[in-house]
Formats: sequence, C-alpha cells, structure tokens
Amino acid sequence: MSGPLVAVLQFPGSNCEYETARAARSQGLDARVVRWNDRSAGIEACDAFILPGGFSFQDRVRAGAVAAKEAVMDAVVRAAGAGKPVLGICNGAQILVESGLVPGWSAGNVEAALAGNMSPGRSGYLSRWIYLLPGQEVAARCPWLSLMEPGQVLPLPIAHAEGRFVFATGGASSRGPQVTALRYCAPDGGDPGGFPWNPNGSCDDAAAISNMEGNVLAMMPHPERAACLWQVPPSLCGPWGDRRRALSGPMEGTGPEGPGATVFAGLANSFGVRVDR
Amino acid sequence: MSEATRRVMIAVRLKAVDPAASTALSTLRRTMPGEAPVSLGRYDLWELEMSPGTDTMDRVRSLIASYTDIVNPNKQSWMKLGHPDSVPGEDRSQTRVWLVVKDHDDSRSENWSRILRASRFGVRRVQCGVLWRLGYPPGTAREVAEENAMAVALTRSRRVGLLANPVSQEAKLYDEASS
Repeated sequence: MSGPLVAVLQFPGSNCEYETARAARSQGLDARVVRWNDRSAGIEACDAFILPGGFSFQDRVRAGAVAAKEAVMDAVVRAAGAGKPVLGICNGAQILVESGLVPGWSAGNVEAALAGNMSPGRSGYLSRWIYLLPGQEVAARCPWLSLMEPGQVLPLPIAHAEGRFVFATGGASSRGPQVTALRYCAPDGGDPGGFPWNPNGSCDDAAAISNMEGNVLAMMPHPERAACLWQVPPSLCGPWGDRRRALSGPMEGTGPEGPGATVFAGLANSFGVRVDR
Repeated sequence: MSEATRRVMIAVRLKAVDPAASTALSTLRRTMPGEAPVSLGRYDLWELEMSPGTDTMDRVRSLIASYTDIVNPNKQSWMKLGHPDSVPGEDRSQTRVWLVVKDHDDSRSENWSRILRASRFGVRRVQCGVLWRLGYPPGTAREVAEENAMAVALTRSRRVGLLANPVSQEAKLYDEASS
C-alpha cells in the first residue's frame, strides 16, 4: 500500500488498534500498528498518528496518565507541533488530554481532564450509541472532520467510564466552543438536555475537542466501531438506522460504509486520497 | 458535617503488590527523579460520615463485612486511618507523606451515599478517593518530603506530576499525626 503513512500506536492495554487500522486502510491510508516501544519503527516519518481505544497501562493511576509520559509520545508531540494530524479515540483521547496536546491553550500544559461520568443515579462504565453534531468553529479546520457538513448528525458508539470533558478554570464557558469539535445532541440534532443524549455530563456537551490549530482531535466516541454499516444497530433512529434496516442479503467484503467511516475518509480527503467505490 | 456526626476514614489496600503503585513509582522515577519517592503505596479511601452513637466502629466493621465492593477479603485488607501502626510491610525509617486525591465531582461517592444511607449502618455520607503513601529516604526533612510529594501529585504537563489531574481532582496532604 502506498497511501499516506498512518501510525496506529499500540500501548500495553490498547484493544482497538487492529479495527482502527482496518478502518483507515479502507480509505486508502497506509495504516500500520506500531508498538509503543518499537524504536525501530521510524514513526517520525509517518504522516499521521492515531491513538486507539482500550485501557493503556490498565488505566493505572488515571486513564491515559501513564501512556502520556511514554517516550513515544515525544514523537507525537513533535508531529502535532509540525501540523501533522493526530487522532485519539476514547483512551487515546484520554492520553492526548493528559499530554496537554488538547486543548493546547498554553503549549504543553494540562488544561483539561476526562473525568468520571456524571449522570443521575448511575456511575461507572457506559456503553451505548449517541448522536453528534460538528462544532461550527472547529470542524472546518480539523482534517478528520473535513467531510462533515454543518448540522450533520453523526451516530457513533461510546464505551467509557471517564469521558466527561472538564476544562481548567475559565475554559469551559469562554474558550470551550473554540475547541469543541463534536457535541452530543439529541437524535434530531437538537439540544441533548442531559442524560442520556449527553451521556456523561460533559462540559459544553463536548464529545471531542481539538487543539486550536485543529490538527489534533481527541474524541470519546469510537468511529472504528461504526466504520461499516453492518455495525450499526438496526434499532438506531434516523437515516443511518434506516439504511441499516434496508441492508439485507450477503455482503461483499465489509459491505457499505457506516457513519464512522467519515472520520477516516476525512483524513484521506485532507491528503487528496480518493477511494472509488 | 454536623457536630454530632463522626467521620471515619477507611483505607483499603491490595494484599498483593499494587500494580498501580508500582507503575506510578517507575513512571515517577523516570520522569521526576529529583522528586520521586523511594516507596509508594496506594489505598482506596472511604470517608464515612456516621450518625452519632457509641458503637460507630462496630457499625463500620459490620458495613465492611456486608459489602465486598468496599473490601473484598480475598484480596484486600483495610485499616482505620489514625492508626498508622497497623500499616504492614513498610520501612518505618522513611519519611512518610500521605496524600489524598479526590474528584471535584464524583458520582461514585454520590451513589454510594445513596446506597449506604438506605442501609442499617447509620451512614450519612460517603466520599471516595485514593490515598497515596509516599516514602522518602530516612532523614529527609518533612518539609522537603511534602514539597516533593505535592510536585509529583499535581499534573501540570507531560513532564511534571502524575497522581492527580488538578483540573478535575484535588490533592491534599493528610497528616496522620493529627487524625
């Protein structure tokens, strides 16, 4: 494969690296799983980086906190500073937050947290499908979201216990919208109004935040788990649910694309890669 | 807390080596060698606000025996804070600093409060957290040990701090002598 080279970083405890790489490859990207301690991998030459979901270092101390201090993240920080696209999915997002790469108001400082889910009467791990809207100020400058239309509702699955974005004092109300790349919304795109459509009490209904430049994106939902239409539950509301219900009979390969494919297609698009379907 | 309410702090530890403490210690030795402790212990912290009564500790013991989510006796042991002599397997010559980390907003504590308020043990409120025991070399001045402990606690950047993210958590020194 000769498309743009994408490193999918595998930390001890990552568990979504292979399906993430597969979703990226299906968009013409040369995605390779790279172990966090493989110093011969030459990741400096990669064109983009993905930190996949899972439980890096078993979530010891705090989700993402230990992986953020690993040497491989030096290369990711340098790449981000050079403008290369970096995506963190779920635990990868927690690593980017603990690295200070997002929101990045003051370079290198940790100015956000992914705190424990807050919802009435429940705590801990939550796995469900949610609906997202692109943040108006951010999506346009974010390669991963470059194919999303304003107002487009994107259903994706979440699965996390610590997914509540919290910003350093003063950040939530004044600067949050500048970096909120994806917001939780109701199935019709309206105000989520708390649980269940904002599933974790996240500040500003944020499901994904970026740095100010837009090349680094930390998102809690899992696009790789919705890259194919068959991964969408038939019970889902809206047009993606309609498409899934209409899907019948045997499929060739992975079948039609699901809603999560747009994230990987967006990166491919930013590199000028087109895949004929 | 009302005047009559009694606060009991329970620290729960793994009987085996705690993997989170081991990983935190090796990470701190690598990233902050000047401030890292020489030993590190980790405990689940339960602060229980108990209703008045002379049998408070009896009620706490009964509560702990009833909820294996709090202490699983197959793999964990517990102690009441304020009795540091009960901490097993430590080098007592080290200068020890205790650090409490709690979330600013914590639905786990809220849910446990609701569960235990409905129980028969007279619990009014629960607050969960993590207690870290940081050991510094013998002879280290307490002020220096406490300063280093706070430095490794508060995460400011990739290079500085680990044990708490101050955006969503608070970290405070716990004085075992005054408890």
